[in-house]
Amino acid sequence: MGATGVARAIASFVDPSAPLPADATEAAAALESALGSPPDLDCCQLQQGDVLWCLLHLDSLTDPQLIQSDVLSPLSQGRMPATTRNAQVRTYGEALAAVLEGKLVALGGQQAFFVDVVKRPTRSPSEPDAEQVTTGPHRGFVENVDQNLGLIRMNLRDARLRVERHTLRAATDVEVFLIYIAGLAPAETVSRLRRGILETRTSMAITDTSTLSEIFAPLQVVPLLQSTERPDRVAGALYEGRCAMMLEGSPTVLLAPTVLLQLLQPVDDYYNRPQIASFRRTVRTIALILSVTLSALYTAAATINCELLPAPLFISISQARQNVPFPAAVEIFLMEGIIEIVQEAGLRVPGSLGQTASILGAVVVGQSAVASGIISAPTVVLSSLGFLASLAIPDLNASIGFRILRFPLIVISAVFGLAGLALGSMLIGLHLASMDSFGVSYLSPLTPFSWRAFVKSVLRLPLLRRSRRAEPGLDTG
Amino acid sequence: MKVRLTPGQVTSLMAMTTMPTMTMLLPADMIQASGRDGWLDVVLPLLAAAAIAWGMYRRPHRTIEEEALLRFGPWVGRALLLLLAAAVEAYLVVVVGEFAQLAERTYVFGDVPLLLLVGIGIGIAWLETSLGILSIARTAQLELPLLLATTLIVIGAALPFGDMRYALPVGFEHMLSAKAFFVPFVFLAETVFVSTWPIESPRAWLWPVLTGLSLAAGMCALTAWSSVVVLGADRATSAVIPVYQVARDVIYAGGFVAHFEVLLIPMLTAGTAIKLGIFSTSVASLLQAAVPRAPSWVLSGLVVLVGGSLALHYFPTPVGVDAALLHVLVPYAMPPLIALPLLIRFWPQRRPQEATRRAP
Repeated sequence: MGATGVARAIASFVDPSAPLPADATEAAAALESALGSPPDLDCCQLQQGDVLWCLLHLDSLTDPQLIQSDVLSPLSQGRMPATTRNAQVRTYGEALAAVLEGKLVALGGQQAFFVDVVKRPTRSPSEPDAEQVTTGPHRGFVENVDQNLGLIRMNLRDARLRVERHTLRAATDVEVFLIYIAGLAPAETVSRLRRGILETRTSMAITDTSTLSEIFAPLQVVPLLQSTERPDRVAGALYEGRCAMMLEGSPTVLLAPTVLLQLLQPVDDYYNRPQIASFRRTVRTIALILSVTLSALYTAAATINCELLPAPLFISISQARQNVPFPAAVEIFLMEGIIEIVQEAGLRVPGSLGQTASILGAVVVGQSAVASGIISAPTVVLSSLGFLASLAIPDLNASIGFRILRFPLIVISAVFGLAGLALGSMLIGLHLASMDSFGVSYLSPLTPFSWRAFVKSVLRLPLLRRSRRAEPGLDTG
Repeated sequence: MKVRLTPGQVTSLMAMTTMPTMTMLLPADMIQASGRDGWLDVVLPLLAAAAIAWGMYRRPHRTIEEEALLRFGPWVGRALLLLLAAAVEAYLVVVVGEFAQLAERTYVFGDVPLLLLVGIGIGIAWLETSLGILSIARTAQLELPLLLATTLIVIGAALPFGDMRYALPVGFEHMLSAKAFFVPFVFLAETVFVSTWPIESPRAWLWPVLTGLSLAAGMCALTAWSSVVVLGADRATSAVIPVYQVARDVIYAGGFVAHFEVLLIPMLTAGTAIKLGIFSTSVASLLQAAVPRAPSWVLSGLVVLVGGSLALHYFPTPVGVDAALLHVLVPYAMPPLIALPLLIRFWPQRRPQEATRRAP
């Protein structure tokens, strides 16, 4: 039970560690007072024989049918609520935490316990927008952790599956579910994650796993934990010895450890023919390199290292740029800025309006900029190509992270040409090389190099040729 | 703190320590010293370096810092480590010079951008030192295949334009000439200083170190040989960076890339930046062992600042770098750089009781 956050919040009203008094009415009044008598607090009394029961719960969080069937019916028949989820409540802090979690607290006859009657808003497990596939299951996680666990179990009927529930101390304590397969997940990784959850103390409000991800890797531009909303991906990852972290109320599950190449492997690789999947993986790897370096390479070629280009191409670019008033570096910065603004605008406005914004930005602004001589056509082509390449990266967080990295690369290439590009790329490489995801090198299997894992990461081998268990953290299925 | 590296990472570190120099600058010296048979100059140094590596890595289980303190006691051991750190620092100065030389000779820069570029190189070295040898080793392992591939593509693409009459050696007499010994000095110095890396189980390094050395020596010989075959002995002698000259003069890639050297040079630049990091990490590690109470960030900053300042004293003229190499490195830095690790490794170990009593 996440009592600490509640205890902090009510410390000024009642002593959270104080035991509940024997008088149920007095206890109920104190609890109501500590909660500030909110309009959705239902505090009813039920006389049953000699015992006066005080029942406290928040209407907004509880299910009336469950209250009727699990609490009121048994009590009115002279029986104790026989739910397996009931538990004793001893202090004010425990009682308040239970009420705030959507449970019903029953006080009376020298007893105090809570019954889980939480009304969990659910929706059907629809396919997540960011991870759509053409073939394969179209199910995604929802905001209900029980339902999500069920979805995982449907994909993974294995007695070794372990689900641990831990409390993370935040502004409002949250329950984090750590999921792994015993015997497949390395004990050290499980231990690191468990320790990470238990030792974290933050004043942030954690409402989604993305915040949790930030707590584990605060400074990295690219994600150190892979997020997914697909049960089949989580099941595959668990079978590879990885761990999953789930949060009540969040449809996103975090996978750890995560390496760079895994971010280039969408789950539908495993629903396509191996040849097709391998080809697409190669394309995505090239796209990743292009998304980071293409604009910087063009800047270097157009400003300092003109010898990089063959004469006809150089002449063509020069002719296209002759009416442009800005240096190539400024021009490419303008174009990259326009692309980012158009993309952001497209994301912020709903549905069809977003498409309109994108078309308006891409076609009208792009064409007008070229026609009016503000930006040259080659710049528009290369910037757009770089942007499209970044969209080919399946993981959205990684895609945005790598797009950010190209801006400093453009600056250093504009000043030093190819030498700057080389040093900038090396710095990015050094940054990635210094990263570990829960004990696994972020660049594995490139370094430390493992030929077997490398082949399996770059190519999607036929399933018959794959061993049952991949090396931990090196492949995704 | 000691870290655990894989054999592949040790090979990459070794190769990346020696390869930028051995593919860029040494072939020119080898061809100047020995003409068309310059590529053979690498044979003797490789054998000598392999023998020294064998001697150094077949015995110890400890790093050079631990060996020095254990065999010589805290005071003499620390003094030796400080001396060794000074020698590696002198070498670091020359590597900064090499970095500047490469930038100046392959890109057309004004003084200010060139100084800025060298400043960035020094900054990267500091960053590498701060991140530690593991991050450098991983970066080296990423970089090495790219550097190898680019160099081999240049050589492979240029060979069809070569004159195979120069392909075979005419004799070995030059290998004993005084000038040809310049190469072994550089090679040996770069070989022995690797013993300063703070890595666990140095005993397991022998074969990775030898592999890395052989790889670098092979690329050096191949570069010198192909330069003579493609450019001819006279043109190769006058080339400062033969492989660059080969790529620039002979290969016209056409299509999207006009000249191939533009792909080779970034690789070499990044390789030299890694080399800077490796050297500065070694100095910082030695200093940390000699002065254990000093904060590591202060030491790494000191190493890079002193190295950069000294390099700027000889910078930006390539003549300055050559002068540093000839007048500072060879007479003052190289002898201790080679002798001190050997002395520390081969000095008889004291009796266990005494060692236990005096060990810090």
